[in-house]
Amino acid sequence: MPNHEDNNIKDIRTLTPCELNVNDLLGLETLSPFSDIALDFSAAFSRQIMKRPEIRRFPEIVALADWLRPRNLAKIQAAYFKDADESRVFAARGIALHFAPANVDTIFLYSTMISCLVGNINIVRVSSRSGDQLRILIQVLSEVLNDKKFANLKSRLFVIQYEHNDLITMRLSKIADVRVIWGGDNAVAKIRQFPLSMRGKDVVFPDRWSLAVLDTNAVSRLSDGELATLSEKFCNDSYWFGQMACSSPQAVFWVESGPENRDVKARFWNSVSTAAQKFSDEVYPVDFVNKLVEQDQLAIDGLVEYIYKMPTNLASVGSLNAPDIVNIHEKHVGSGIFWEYTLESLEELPRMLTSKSQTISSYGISSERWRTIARNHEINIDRIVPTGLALKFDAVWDGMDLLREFSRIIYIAESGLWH
Amino acid sequence: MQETMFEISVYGLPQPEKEKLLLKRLNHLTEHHVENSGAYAKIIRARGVSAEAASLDEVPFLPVRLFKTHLLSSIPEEERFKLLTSSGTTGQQVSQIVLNRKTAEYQSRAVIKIMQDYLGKQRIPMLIIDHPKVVKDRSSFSARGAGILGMMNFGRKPVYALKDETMEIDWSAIDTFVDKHQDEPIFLFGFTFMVWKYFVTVLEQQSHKINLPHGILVHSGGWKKLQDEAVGNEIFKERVEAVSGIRRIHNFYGMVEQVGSIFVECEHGRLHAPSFADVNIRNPYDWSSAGIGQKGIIEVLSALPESYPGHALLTEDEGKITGIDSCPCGRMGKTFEVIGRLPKAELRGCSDTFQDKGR
Repeated sequence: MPNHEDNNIKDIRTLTPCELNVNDLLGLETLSPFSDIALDFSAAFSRQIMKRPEIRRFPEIVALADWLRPRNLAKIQAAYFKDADESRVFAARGIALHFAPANVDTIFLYSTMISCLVGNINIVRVSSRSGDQLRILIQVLSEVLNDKKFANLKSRLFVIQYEHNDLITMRLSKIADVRVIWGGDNAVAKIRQFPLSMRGKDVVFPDRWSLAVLDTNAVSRLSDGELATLSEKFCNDSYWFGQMACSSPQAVFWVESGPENRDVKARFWNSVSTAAQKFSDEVYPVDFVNKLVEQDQLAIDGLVEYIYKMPTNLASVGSLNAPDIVNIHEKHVGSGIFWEYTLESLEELPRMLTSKSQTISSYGISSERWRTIARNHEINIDRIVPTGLALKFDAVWDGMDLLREFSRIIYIAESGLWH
Repeated sequence: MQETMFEISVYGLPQPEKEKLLLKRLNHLTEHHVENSGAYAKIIRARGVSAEAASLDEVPFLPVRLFKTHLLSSIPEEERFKLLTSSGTTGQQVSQIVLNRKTAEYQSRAVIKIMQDYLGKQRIPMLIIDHPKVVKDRSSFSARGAGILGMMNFGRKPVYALKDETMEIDWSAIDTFVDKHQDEPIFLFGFTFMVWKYFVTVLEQQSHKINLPHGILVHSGGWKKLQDEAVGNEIFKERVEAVSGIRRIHNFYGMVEQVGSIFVECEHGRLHAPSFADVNIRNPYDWSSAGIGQKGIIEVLSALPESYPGHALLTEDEGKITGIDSCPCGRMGKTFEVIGRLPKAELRGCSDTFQDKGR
């Protein structure tokens, strides 16, 4: 390795207890999938998070801690080994290099923990612009890693920071067997320029957009109380992460056979406006201006049938005369702006979606109905979940089973073939 | 109102009377722009609001940023007389404002009416705190160049205080000017940041004082850069006086999207709305109008824009109303204070490991 590369490596700051030394990693063994040490570590990490009141107040972190609990991991483990038979033995891939998004976001920690559980050695690059939330999480992670029991993980998990430096990204990529890129199109395009190890593979998370699909009749039958519950779930899907998460709904498609019932929609949006008050501290004056700009821009583009008159600016809602979702996604500013469109039947939906569509959160349509649609139509979608679960992480994400993506399969010819 | 607005006293109307006149004119403008600007008509139709507002508060307003993303015009192309652009830094989107002769003329008449109230009707010797090259290339006018040219109408024999793009002070020009005009009223104009950085602080460092006790300094352009150095209006005034002896200092608030209707700071430090313009503070939470002293987003109303739909604009500045028909200076109408740019929101979501998204 030439000297200048070594010099660059020195600019890496390791935030976890064991200093990253790239050369040492190459001879290091991986662990077996779902090893006791990795499972115990996850449980300990979860417990420690819940002991810290300063981070426990963030719902997305509580959700992470919850996901890491033994009972949940046992389910994931069972699903993982379900396909293991006498001809398939699962193993870790090797070194996994993760690029976390710049803003505070916990989702990359799920993929890191999954990679850890299947036994990989993990290097996680976080931005130096990350906020307090992440700093505390890394602090907790380090405390747990410092427990003697986890010495074997301490030398296999590195959270690092470095200022933008292509030489470092290049050097680390060269040894990566899996590279995980969060952070949208720009990050994916930028980091992909650098070659991986010969057998390396990329797991990428480019820009995506999501929508809600609601059945008008089902919503019309709700009592005031039931409607309030639905709106609360819808707001949790939409307002966490300022409606800028890939899974936050930006568009709402109503499915409505028969004559249009505007009253049902107006009633729903009023209810959403009330439920959104829970998030009023998180919407800033400039966000309200941004939403007004987006509404006016789409109106100039001729896409807007009408803008709803809302009691407050917390929820900004417009009705479209054409489902130009691509345009809407490009202009999306978040913080509670919604565009609705009415479909006469669910069968119209597939042609409105694009390769960027990720999650449908839906109310009033059965899971069986969605399965039928997914089986019989070419439909660009990765997840379909009930309203309220849009942001709930699952090991199957963006169309991939991350457990599979992060591990390899050793084929052993079945017993009958042996002599 | 087109003609009467220039005949009535620029600060003489009590708020209720002024609102009646202004409302009539603004309603007329809303209707005019709905008829002549397709983009504006689509916005008004989508919002489902009436063009006939019952109060100034109800006049539909556009976010000023739309002029950065769209060319909004209410005139046929052959009537286009000038295209004003804002002075954005590199990479920033700039506003584009379409003017016809009539609107341009309204704008200059408005500035004349306002400035005469502070400078008197006589043209007085003028010192421009900038360099001559900013106004040289008239085809590519920046807001800075346009601002200086506009103000030159009030000065006699303008002299530039800076040499060229190096922003070096032209001492020989200044000394000659001071010697000649020390005992008479003179008019100084410059952009706030230029005045501060290339005039006040340089004079302080070189301990080169000048004495212009009859000087009237008018400046504008925003406080952002000065606020970064923790310099507010009071400190600015004190230090200008210390290096130059100038005591009459007037800041004004205005923007390229509403040239002409400027809000000038009076002797008591308040910004005043002239007869053909007004200011409204909006609560971002529901766009309701804020009361006196309540902080909100500044909306500016102007009777002037006919060639583009900019008669009611929501700015991206925060401010508050400081009084109505109550300023000790005697000027009528609303007074207000600008607090600063709206703070940017933090970046959220799963996007962008390496770059900020322009928001």
